[in-house]
Amino acid sequence: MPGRSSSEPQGGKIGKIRPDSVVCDSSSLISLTDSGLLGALMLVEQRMKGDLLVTAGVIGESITNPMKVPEYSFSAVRLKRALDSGAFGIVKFSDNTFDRILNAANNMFYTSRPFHLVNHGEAEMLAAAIDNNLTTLLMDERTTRALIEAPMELKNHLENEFRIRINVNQDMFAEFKEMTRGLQVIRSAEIVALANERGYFKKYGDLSSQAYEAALHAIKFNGCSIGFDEIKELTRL
Amino acid sequence: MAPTPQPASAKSAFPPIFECLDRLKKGFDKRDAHELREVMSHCAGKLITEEQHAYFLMALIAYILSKITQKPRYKDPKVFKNIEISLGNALVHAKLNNTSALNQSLDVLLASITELEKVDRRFVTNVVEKGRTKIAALLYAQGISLNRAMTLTGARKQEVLSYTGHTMMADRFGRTLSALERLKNARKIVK
Repeated sequence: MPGRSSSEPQGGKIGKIRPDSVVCDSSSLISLTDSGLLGALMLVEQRMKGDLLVTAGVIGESITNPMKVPEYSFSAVRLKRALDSGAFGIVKFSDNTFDRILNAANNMFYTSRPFHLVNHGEAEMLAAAIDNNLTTLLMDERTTRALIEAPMELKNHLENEFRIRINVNQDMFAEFKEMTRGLQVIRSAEIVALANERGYFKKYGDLSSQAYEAALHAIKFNGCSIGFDEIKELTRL
Repeated sequence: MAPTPQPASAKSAFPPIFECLDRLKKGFDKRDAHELREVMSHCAGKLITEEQHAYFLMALIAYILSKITQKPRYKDPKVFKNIEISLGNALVHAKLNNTSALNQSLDVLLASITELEKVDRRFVTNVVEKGRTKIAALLYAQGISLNRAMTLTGARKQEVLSYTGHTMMADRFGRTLSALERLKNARKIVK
């Protein structure tokens, strides 16, 4: 598994990891780039207390693999350029944390068998944040976010969708909760909102408010899990 | 209305996988695209609860057949007859609960259906890829993580994100934090 390290976790390109750094998931990088809003992320990055960090797996998902597919290669090229320019640092994690996350997340809910909810990609991100004492994740993917913020709501959702009763393995539930305690998730929508607060859309002149709202819709249509009512709310804040 | 309890005798003697495939075959025999889409959703759900690859193959085949039955350019009686025969063969394996033979026969069927589109290719993304995306999006909407859905279906992340972005999935799930709260968290990362 690329990106894993059995030794002490450490930053790849940027050396020591700063405490307010953000671990980025490929879902956010893809939706921002596909919406033409990588510039918004770069603007926020310049004003961050910490750094933007990615795991080797995220590089594979958002750069290396899509680079081989003509349909997605332009987005991948833009991200590669940002990576090469030092906008992202590479973060590592330990096998132990990675395995514990996978084990807890995939055994906390069960029916006749455990509900296998998350995969390596999501576990990698969480492990990277935990091992490096980081608290913020940039992630548009909904399920992992719900597992961290409101696991019982996710359980209810699964029960409604599959029309089955789901049991909770309290030990695994407690372990996952303990491991992810203090983690906060932001989405590409919040990155666009931060960029707006820092004048990113001023270049559109009189259309700046419309540009901001349109940008929020663009990232929604490119996969950011945000509701239409939330977009309205964000534009009013 | 409360569901009526089924008498013990009404329970099928056949494996559940057989019942899904039987429903798929009957749907195709009737050229019922709507029923085939229902079979796709049912098999996708079973894929999560039962974790058997055959359910994915059946979901994908059901999706493709629902498309094929709707498009006149695919309507070749000889091809349709071959699909019916292949589904019949797969049913025999399903009835015996022979998973490896079933998977193999479904793989062969899938490959032969995929060939259909090569004859008259009109889009860059073929119907098989669309099916993978559709099933992955369905699983993701049901509560499985994006990466897990991709692993089970072989779909591409970009496609699934774009597809789900155009659905009401995010609106239907509800919120776990208010917009203001999340923005406040985001503000902490900047100077």
